[in-house]
Amino acid sequence: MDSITITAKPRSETGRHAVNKLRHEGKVPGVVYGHQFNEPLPIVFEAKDLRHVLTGHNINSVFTLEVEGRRPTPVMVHERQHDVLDHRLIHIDLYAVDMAEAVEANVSVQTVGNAPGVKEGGVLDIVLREIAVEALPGSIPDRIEIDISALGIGDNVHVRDLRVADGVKIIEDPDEIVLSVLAPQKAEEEVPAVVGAEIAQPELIGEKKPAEEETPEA
Amino acid sequence: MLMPKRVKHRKMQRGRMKGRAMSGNSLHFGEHGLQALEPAWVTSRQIEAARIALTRHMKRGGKVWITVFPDKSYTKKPAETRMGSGKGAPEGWVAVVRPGRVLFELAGVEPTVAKEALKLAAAKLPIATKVIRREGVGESVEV
Repeated sequence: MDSITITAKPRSETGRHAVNKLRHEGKVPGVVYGHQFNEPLPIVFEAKDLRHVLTGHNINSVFTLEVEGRRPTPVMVHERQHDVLDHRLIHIDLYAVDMAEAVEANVSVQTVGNAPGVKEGGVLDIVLREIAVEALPGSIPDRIEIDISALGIGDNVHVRDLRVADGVKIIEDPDEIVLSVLAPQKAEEEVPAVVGAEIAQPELIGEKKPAEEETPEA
Repeated sequence: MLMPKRVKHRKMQRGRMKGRAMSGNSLHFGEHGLQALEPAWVTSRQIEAARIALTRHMKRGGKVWITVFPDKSYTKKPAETRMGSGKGAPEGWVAVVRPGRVLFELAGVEPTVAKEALKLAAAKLPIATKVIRREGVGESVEV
């Protein structure tokens, strides 16, 4: 188990206004649930400490959570919520894990090497940026590396082509495409806009066409 | 220009643009994106102008995703018309954009090219925007 420790305090404030007040005080509300927790426990972190712990560590790492009045517990980050505009962390879900029981996690995909297809003008399209895997909490890989140094234009890498360590099981559809090298986009012919041209109107759903209107009713 | 193929009604009520974008507020496809900071109606012409600015700067490389669609019609009365006598004629199509909405996404180009291309596209839009990039699993940051 990693020895990275996160300290938190139990939180009695719940609800939008109360947690917003905490955020203004430089704190991040969160919740922990899972093993050893019969009920989800609302907790609160110091934003600075939490940022310090999360930065530089893999998101699938196992942390030790120390909450006042409870035993240290191994936890994993289950979900993070960020503000849509300033991207700061506004809430975190921690999952208390049993180190002997497999968990599901999303592992990011990283490409290795340079694809010849990209040098020829193709575009590397990463379709699946995260791969869902099942493994023991301590053996979840930091990332899944994909060697793209043999990929030409039109080549794909499927989930079934990925190689992971023993004990790690990929739970995505094996036929799903992870990444592909697309052919270069053709330059589109630009049609000059006609000033004052009337915009074409879309078809109305349920509108009777002139031919239908003329048909006499039976 | 973008517009729906089929609609149920030609004219729509104007609606409101309160709050932030509840969906489409993060990068789903590309490495870089353009995120709205203000609410606005973005017209199909503006979207098209921004797309052209983007693709011209990127030349042939990379891939562009337009993540908004102008599915709302707006109407306009003719000039020098007295008020009343019903709603005006459909004039064009707009996408309702709320703060936080990602408008364009890019992949397959150098970060400097992506940033410059998105800045050029932003100049075609009626709102303040910022360029964001993907950072880690499910996270984005401002460039």
